[in-house]
Amino acid sequence: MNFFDVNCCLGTPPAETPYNFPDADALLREMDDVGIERAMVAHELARAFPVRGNQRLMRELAGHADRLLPSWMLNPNCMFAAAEAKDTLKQLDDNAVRMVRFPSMPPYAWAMAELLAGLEERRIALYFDLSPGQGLNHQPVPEPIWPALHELAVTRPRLRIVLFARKLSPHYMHVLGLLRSCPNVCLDLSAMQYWRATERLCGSVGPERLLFGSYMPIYHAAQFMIQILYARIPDEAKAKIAFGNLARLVGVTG
Amino acid sequence: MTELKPFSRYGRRALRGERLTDIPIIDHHGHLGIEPGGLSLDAEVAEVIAVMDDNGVSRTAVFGFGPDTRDVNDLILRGVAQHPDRFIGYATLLMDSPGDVMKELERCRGAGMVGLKLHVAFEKEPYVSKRFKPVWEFCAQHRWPVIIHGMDERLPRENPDTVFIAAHGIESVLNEASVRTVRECPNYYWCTSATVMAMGAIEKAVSLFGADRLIFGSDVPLNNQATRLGSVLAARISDDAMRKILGGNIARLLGLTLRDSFPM
Repeated sequence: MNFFDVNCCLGTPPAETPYNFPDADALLREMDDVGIERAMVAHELARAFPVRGNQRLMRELAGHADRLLPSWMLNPNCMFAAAEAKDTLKQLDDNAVRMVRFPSMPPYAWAMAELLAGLEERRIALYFDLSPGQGLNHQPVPEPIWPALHELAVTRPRLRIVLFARKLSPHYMHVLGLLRSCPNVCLDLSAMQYWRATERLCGSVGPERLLFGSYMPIYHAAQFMIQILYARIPDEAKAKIAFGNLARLVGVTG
Repeated sequence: MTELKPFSRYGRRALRGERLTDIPIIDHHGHLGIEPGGLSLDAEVAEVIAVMDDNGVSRTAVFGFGPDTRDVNDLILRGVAQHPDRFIGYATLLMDSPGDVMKELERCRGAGMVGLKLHVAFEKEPYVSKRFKPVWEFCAQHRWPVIIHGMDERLPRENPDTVFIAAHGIESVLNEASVRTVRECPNYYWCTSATVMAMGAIEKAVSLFGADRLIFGSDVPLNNQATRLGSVLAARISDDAMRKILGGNIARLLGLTLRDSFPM
């Protein structure tokens, strides 16, 4: 089965972990070993320094466009890190970026209208890491995020939103409600390591908006691959979750 | 950075989607009576067995938690009785439960339970309190492993004849004091049921103190057993180390024969 990873990073992660991927070659070696064909890749440096980090990412990914696609980290709520929306959108255009990542914050649609409209217009997917803090801690998602997220998804129906958090179990009602009411919302399945999560979500909302994510190098990709491979769902659904849904989301063929 | 080693052959097979039904896999950390998805006990038992079948898990140790010790233990006994060849029953207790806790342990032993599970969140006193001493002695006498959520690492040092297993112990792999306790106390084990399993955690633990002191646990049905099993199978360790962690170590502690471990 082919896998397309929606969530992995180059660079040194904010948590102490035995592994990291200093460059694209190291990541590709791991992907080859574990059996991942393609990945959306961000760079940890961009978490604090989006300009340098995203530029570094593009240098690392040069020559690997057939397997590694850039996922730019942006921090629009940070006065220091936030560029003007029009400048950000131009850079996304210039670099053919198909996905951007936001850190945990209430994504108020009214407060980021220009940037969000630009992402929607360009069909650039928004990967939302809702986890408060960084690294291995698994605090619940701050409550104010949920109504803001719902408003965003409703008011920007063509904006493709991918959800992730290290701890989503206490927010099952929110996640399920968003998936049911907003067809533009997808879920990185590595956020749901709970009881029959794959089967239950497939049964509730279908497999089309569930995505394989590894969270490498903090988590190990193989555990989430096995979660999908062992799930009691049809092989066709597994193939969609493992590869097809993300390929469709970011416009990749093959 | 640590160099990545090859997967075990079991990990390789799992990554091809194969269920490993030719080796005993014993999940040492499971629950019953926690009502996943709003299920009744009977439905929960059936679901956990189905999940074990899906994942190629031959046996699962199950225990409960709650404020009434006797009620929780009765519930586990009812669940285990439905599949005694697949479940391994563990008792639980609260020191402040009504009645004589030592009599309750004897009752559980008489009913076939073979270990004890404790959860620090439900106790008022620390486990190193003198009140617990008879419990540790009982467990040593009857060779009951004690799995504790919220381990006090003085316990294995102060009670060398009792086997202690730290639930979620693998999460302490970067804690030097915890690693030292495992190294220095042959009666101390770690369960792999990590809430968050960092990439490389099991490899790191095996490199620090070998594979003999790690025991696979998933926290099923709270957690997804396939993901937790996958987090162990993902480790780049030898085939022999993988067999020990997946079932060999706990089978040795419980005195299970191959046939006991592998009824499938």
